[in-house]
Amino acid sequence: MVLIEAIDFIYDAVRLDEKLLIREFNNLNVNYRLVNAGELTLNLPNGGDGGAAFIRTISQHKSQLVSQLYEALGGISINPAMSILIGNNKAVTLAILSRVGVPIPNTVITLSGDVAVKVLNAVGIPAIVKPVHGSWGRLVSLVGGVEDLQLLVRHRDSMGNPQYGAYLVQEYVRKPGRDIRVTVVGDRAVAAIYRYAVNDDWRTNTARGGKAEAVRVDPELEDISVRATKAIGAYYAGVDVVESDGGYKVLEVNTVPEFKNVQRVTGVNVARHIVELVLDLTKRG
Amino acid sequence: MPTKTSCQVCGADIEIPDDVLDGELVSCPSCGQKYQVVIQNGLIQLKLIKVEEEDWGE
Repeated sequence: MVLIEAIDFIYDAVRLDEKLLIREFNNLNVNYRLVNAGELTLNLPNGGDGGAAFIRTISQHKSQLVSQLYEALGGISINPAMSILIGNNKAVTLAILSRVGVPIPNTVITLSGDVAVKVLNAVGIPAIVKPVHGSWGRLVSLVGGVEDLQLLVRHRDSMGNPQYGAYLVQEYVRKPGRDIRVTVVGDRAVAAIYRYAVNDDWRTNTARGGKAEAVRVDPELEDISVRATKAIGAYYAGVDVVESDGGYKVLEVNTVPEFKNVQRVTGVNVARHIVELVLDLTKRG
Repeated sequence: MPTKTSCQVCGADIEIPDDVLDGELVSCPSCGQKYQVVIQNGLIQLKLIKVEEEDWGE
């Protein structure tokens, strides 16, 4: 058992999401301290018991490293380091969801651009092609044919970043111009929104300026969202879901999730739910 | 009193509220350029951010 004296709220860039969380930490009189990841120093050997890190860094690399360091020193990380590593990797996330039977779109994962081109027809055209890492819809492409994908592979090769050598080739789910962001906290889907694409952009990320509307969460949506969150080992998450002819399908599980739009549109105090969960977890040790 | 500073890109005024936090993101109301607030020794500075060059996400 770890004795938690204060919770380290790890941040780098402060979004509205972090401000909402800080407000609830204050409202609930939580003993916490704001720790700028850029100024964090760990002196080794330190023989300490670790501490509790509430990871809210916007940099994915920093989230992964800091969460792992707190756990390596015997402390706890919220979310756990492994869930952050998995959540930051779309390929591994889908593999785990597949294993536990959470519905996902048909997807081929390959470490070769040439193979990605070869499997395209089997996946179906148009298809969605994504990198393994990345967020906010960056480098996610809608591919209309083999020539599109060949061009995309050449562009990716010219970027000179080995992580762009891995491809997710995914069936294009003909969603009704929207997808769903479900915020799961603990065992519950506390709130959800539809995210509508802007104009004719097929991407629906609100980071891309999409509009939003509250969702009445039905038992099936809650079930797959909570199962997806637990499958990757997260305590709370933002689960991206699409509606297909065959029912809901999970696209991603975000482990340092933004929720400001969910909170604004639904009126649910998501930040309060998250901070209560953090308190519960740190009391348990 | 909110602090006023000039956008490095378009020169428009950017108002920094009194309760701004270190690390907070602000945008120029005129051109949309993003900045990160850096507070050191009580001094507020704006660091220009190029979002596409960062590994930012959820």
